Amino acid sequence: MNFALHVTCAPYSKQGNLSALNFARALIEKDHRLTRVFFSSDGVHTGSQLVVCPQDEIDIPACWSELASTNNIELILCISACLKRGLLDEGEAERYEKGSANIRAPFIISGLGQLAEAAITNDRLVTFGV
Amino acid sequence: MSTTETKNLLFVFDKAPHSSPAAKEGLDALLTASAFGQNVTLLLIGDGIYQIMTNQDPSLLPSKNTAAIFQALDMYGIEKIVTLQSTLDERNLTTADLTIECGIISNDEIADLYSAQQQILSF
Amino acid sequence: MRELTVEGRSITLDKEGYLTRLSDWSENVAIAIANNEGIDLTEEHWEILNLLRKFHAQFEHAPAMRILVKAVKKQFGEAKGNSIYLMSLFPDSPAKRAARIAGLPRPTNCL
Repeated sequence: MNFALHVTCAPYSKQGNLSALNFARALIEKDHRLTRVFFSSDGVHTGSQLVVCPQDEIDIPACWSELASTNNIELILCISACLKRGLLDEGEAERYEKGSANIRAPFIISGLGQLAEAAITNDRLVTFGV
Repeated sequence: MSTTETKNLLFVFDKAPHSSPAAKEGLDALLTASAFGQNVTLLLIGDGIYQIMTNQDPSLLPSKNTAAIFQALDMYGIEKIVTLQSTLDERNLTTADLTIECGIISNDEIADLYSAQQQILSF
Repeated sequence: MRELTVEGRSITLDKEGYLTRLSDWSENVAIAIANNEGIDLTEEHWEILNLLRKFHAQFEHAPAMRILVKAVKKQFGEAKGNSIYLMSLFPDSPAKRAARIAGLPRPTNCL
């Protein structure tokens, strides 16, 4: 089955972000296809390359990056949520004349249309928000 | 869009306005989805019904008056907006307290509504 | 950041030409922004600009192209409610350009 996930909570703030990661791993283990993870609201903090995590705890953003790179999953951050929360890629940093960019690869910034499209083109869309 | 099949998409809003970013972001997602030519329904359930209450003035917070954005939904082609009778009853509300027209379904009918959907997006 | 001087006031625009402070807007500021983009505002332009400002005041957001076309069609009919007409008034990206001149925030274009 083709799955997409929608994550609306930040890593380390609510359990839902880590639950989504675990769910994503389980999908792949069970030979489902995970095509896209769309992060909106506080979920966009997952895409910050400035997250620093103690060595004896799970580095959630790094795990998302690694999972996506290994399994060809799109990690998409909602642009309007990013802008309000200070998450900018090079293009947006230049557009809004801010000094630096902080998006972790392979996350990309895009619009809510990507969420609608994920809902339409996948068999299942599962939301993690709490 | 690669698919030509029309899907039933249900948006569920269950949070009071100005209580979390979810209310505004759900609305943004709903307006965006309207451009994809799908069969979209909006369910306002629980405290989500407060999002379309009349006489809101969040300018004092200050915060965007999201109730006004709901009034543009028909222009976006979103005509199916429903709530539960129990949602209204529990809050002592009637449709006269709402800024937009809203269909009312019973607790029994909600199962049919959910099972008719291909995707459900909750905010 | 760019600056325009209108009636002795200094008005700042962001990198893409939108007002930094929406409260700076006036009809003369609109004329100055339009001139800055090489457009002389006519009555036809003002029809659209006024409609946009009314839309924003009523619905709390600036519409993207699809909804702008619908709103114009609803108010002024088929002859004006189409993208070709709007492109002729506000070239390239009518919803964005008209929003800039009307002193509105960027249209939320999430596609």
